Amino acid sequence: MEEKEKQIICRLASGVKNMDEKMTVEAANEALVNHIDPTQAINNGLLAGMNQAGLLYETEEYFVPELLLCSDALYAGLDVLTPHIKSVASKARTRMVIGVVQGDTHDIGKNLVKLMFETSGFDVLDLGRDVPLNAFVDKVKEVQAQLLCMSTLMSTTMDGMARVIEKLEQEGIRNTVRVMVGGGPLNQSFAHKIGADGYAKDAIEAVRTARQLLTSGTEDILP
Amino acid sequence: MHKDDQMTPKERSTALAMGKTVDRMPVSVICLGPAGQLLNMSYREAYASAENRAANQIKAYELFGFDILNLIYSLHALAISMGARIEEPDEGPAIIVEHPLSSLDDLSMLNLEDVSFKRDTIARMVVEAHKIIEDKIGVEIGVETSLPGPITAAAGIVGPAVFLNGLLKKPEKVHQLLEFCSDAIINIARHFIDANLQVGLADPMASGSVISKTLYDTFALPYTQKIVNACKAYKAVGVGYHVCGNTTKLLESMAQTGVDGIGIDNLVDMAAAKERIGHKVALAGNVPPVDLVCYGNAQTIDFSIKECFRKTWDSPKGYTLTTGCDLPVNTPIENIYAYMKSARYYAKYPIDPERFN
Repeated sequence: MEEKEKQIICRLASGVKNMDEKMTVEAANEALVNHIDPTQAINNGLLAGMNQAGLLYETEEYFVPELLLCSDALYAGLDVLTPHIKSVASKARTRMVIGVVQGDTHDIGKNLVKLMFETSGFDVLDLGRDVPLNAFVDKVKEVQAQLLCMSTLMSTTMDGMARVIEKLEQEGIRNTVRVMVGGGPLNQSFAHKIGADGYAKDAIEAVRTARQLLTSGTEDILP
Repeated sequence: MHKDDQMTPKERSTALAMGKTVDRMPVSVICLGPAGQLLNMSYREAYASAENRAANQIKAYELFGFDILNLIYSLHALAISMGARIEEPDEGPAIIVEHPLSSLDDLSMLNLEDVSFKRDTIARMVVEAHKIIEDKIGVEIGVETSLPGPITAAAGIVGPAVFLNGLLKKPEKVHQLLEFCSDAIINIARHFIDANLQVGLADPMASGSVISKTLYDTFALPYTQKIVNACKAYKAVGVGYHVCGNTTKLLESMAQTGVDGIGIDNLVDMAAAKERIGHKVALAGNVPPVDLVCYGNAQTIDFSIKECFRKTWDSPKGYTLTTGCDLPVNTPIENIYAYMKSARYYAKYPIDPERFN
């Protein structure tokens, strides 16, 4: 890689990591001017920066506000670069459905989880917040999702997750999809109790857990 | 008085304050979620009127006999008074679907009149419900209510994502909003204090699981101090404080707010809390409400209560056993009985630390 190209990619990454939207957008424009492959710029620059931010979150240097600003910078950079990606036949990506269960509108956590999955190459269908339980099942069926992620910040709505899993059973599609749950009041034992396949305490761990779950099965379609 | 006790909560606290002997240490449960169950109605109905709000707490006292009742106010009160669009599920608290403001750019429309006690139907219901409770069992037990802390109130007005972004990007706007929220909270708190309610602040959005200690110290601490000071200047009252989630790194800062007691959530080790701030404030906590009281059984509940007492019973400024946070709506009532049974056993006077080992 050329020195200049390296520098630009590096600035894309540190723009995201350092919550610097302006720097990220400038670097993205420079990448275009210098004919850097936008896919490369995204993967090695923007997404690498977001992953570094994720590590800082894990070590408690960053918290939610910092991650939100990193994601703003990331999306600003993507806005510049993605229109220039020539569509090529992409390899099959893991398709997943995500949402906050009915009765809860707290979606910051869900949005961060979604972002980390997207940056890891998953094909994410976001149902949003306050999602009716049937909508999860219908969407999983419709798009033949391999992964379903549900979250809630409120203990009042946790039981909704169990009901979604029951509905998947009733529809006979429980074994076609891995189910992960997360959110403030939850933990591994609750996930186990309601028959979910996995639990993750934050957005970074979620991607790792999902990868493990998906490779432990038979149909391994990983990004 | 509850059949399993020898003193009423008020007799107990008066005796403790005078250094006299009591039947047991005070114990508590944050029993707001299961309110509907207690009255055989939905959560929503149980909070729909002052009568029902009073009835569910009176019932809780009758069944369980813990030491303090809690009339839930609303963490979203300011936002609701300002016209937030809310949804009220049958089995859970109201949720904000649309916040009154969508950005921090224009705060000129903030008006304290809009969030006054007069305009706040929930605050008025709380005061009315308290009158009903006072008339019925006021000689036996006191009632507290939790106001939203400044961070949670502010996030309710502009939405959590906008607010959290603003902490780093538009700090001066955030300060302006927090100034407004703390003034509004002080105004409501004065009405509660006038009504003889014990007041506390609950600030889940200021959680150490959400923001760093630096942001807490810059934004949460000064406005919380301001509210606490104003309450105490208004009348010599004790003020409680609760921040949900993992607040381990915030403990000293939380004690600096000037509150008298802090409710610790279950992600924090009570031993650490006692060691670091037990000499400054009274502590309460921290049986896991979801894992153990809702989804656990008598045995796991007993173990957790024993642990809480073992770690905190001798905390210098006092200790009250309670749950880390509110109980889920569907908590089995028999688990709350089990909780109270173990609580009474370990809290029995004279305290014998051998019981906890």
